[in-house]
Amino acid sequence: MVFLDEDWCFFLQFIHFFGEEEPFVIELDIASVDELFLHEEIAPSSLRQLINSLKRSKVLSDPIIVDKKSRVVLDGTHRVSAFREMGFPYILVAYVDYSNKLIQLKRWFRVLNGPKDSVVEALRSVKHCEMRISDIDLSILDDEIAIIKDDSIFVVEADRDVFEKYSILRELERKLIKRGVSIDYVTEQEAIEFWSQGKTILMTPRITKQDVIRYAKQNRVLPPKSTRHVFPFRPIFVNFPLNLLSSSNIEKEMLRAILKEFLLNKIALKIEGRVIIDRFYEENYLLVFV
Amino acid sequence: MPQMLIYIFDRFPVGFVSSLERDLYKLKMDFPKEIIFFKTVPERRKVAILLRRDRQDVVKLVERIIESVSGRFSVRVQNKICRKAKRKGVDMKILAWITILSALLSIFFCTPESSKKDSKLLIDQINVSLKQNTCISELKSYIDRLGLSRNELMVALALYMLRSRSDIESVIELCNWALNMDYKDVLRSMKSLESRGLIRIGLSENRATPSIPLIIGLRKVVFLLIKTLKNLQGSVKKADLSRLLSKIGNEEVYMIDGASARKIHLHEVVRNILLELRPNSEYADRSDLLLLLYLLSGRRKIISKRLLKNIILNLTKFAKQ
Repeated sequence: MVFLDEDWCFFLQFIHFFGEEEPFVIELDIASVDELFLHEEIAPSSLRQLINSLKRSKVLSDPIIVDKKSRVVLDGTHRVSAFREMGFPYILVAYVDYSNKLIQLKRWFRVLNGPKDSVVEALRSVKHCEMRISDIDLSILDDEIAIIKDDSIFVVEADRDVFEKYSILRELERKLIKRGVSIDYVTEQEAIEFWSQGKTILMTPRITKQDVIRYAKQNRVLPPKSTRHVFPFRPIFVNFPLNLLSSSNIEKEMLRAILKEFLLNKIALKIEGRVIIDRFYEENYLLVFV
Repeated sequence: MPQMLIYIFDRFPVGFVSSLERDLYKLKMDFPKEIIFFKTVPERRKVAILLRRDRQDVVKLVERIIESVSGRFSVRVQNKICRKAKRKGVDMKILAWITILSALLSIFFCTPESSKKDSKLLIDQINVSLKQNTCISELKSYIDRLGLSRNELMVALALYMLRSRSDIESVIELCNWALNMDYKDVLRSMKSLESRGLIRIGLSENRATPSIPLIIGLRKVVFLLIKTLKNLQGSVKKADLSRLLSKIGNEEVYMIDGASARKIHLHEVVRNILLELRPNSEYADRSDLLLLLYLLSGRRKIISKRLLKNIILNLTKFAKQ
């Protein structure tokens, strides 16, 4: 049962303590898709796939993850875009406090597969300088776009603004694809392994949480696969009925109440993360709804 | 300790998923506690099954199903043991009780405002009945003696209700789910209780332990609250509330049943619940139940059928004692 008066506040909070640190809290809730801000571009082919799969499915399996204060979507850009395209007014969200230190913002590095000359050719379109890898400490390139190929490192010259850097990155990626290079997205750790196997690696510039919020609020979206958020725990398999989210006849407050009852009927299990289920979950814990 | 079994198939032909899911579902029905969940992911040719590790017999049954349906496909198994798998949340019984006690305490601490004349009249009548209630003064002096604010009292009651399961996460979640308290308010109240030596908090062990004097005090508070509730039922029959109650019964609320919600009159909720509970229920006649509903739904316009049934079942057991 829930209060529905003026000071009524709805949330279903799940909390996790990590020793004396500030606890990590997620609130499962319903949000209007129009009130959310996106920070990354969508990949049209992924969006089409997702729409087709949502049309077949009767439930939304996992909530998207949103910063409660700014309403910026941290995880679930494609799901929000799919909902907008399909005309669904509401979406299931897990609100988090993005300023919590336990939420890590990481990057996707790129592995470039294909003719080696293509990389050099694509680089001709941007200002860059070439160095030997033995002459440079890689950590100083944390804010730069750099391609590591064999023993050489090509650092792309760009404006200080992160958004501009990512715009150059987008262009560079387009040129690489045009020249027959296929791109795989990998974590920083995986990139090192691939490089040691002789692959060509594209390092992306560091981005901060403040950048993510600022650009999203300005409706300036970064290219796909710019950010990789790792949360202390992640709710999965909520399986909320899509027909409830698609109907504009149901008021939002009513939907939130239904969600609360829906969740109370389920068992929430906290299991150890870093596990492959339908994909690899990097989080330390998963909150599985059964 | 649960174990995650992940079976990866070299292919997932059409029709394979449905027969696999059907067989696993049947097995889950036979072993609902042992098989925690399973999920098939056709696009990755994968089945993930979370089950209790100590039941090797169930693991064998799962493997037999996988073998029988997979037949000619090769299967790779990944094991993942979830050392810290833990059931989150609180059970319905505790949720039901804390909801009843909180509803009573709401009236005790401050009368809910209502713009509707009939609602206000009913709340006034309930208050008159409460004032006439002899245990109220005893309850009041007890709460005064404990010196707790409403929030502190509710947090302490949540701790008391959870007993051995009172890890900090569960206390916070119970207060949030049943009482709509934000986790910051719960933590603040816990810190305040700790500063007065009423509870001990070990953040690193994720535990909150109430002191013996607090447990004794809370036991008395719960006893008196329940006695108040019983007396209140009696006073409904004495007071002429029938006209008021039948008017209130026409108020519309949303009843949530699973994932569906429908608008329904309060008296219809009563009828439905009574029909479902009979012949086991000796708790309430119509007016008692209507009053209870009103207490619980004073300013609440949404009623969850499952929670409500739990509340009434608990009160039924209680009325027999």
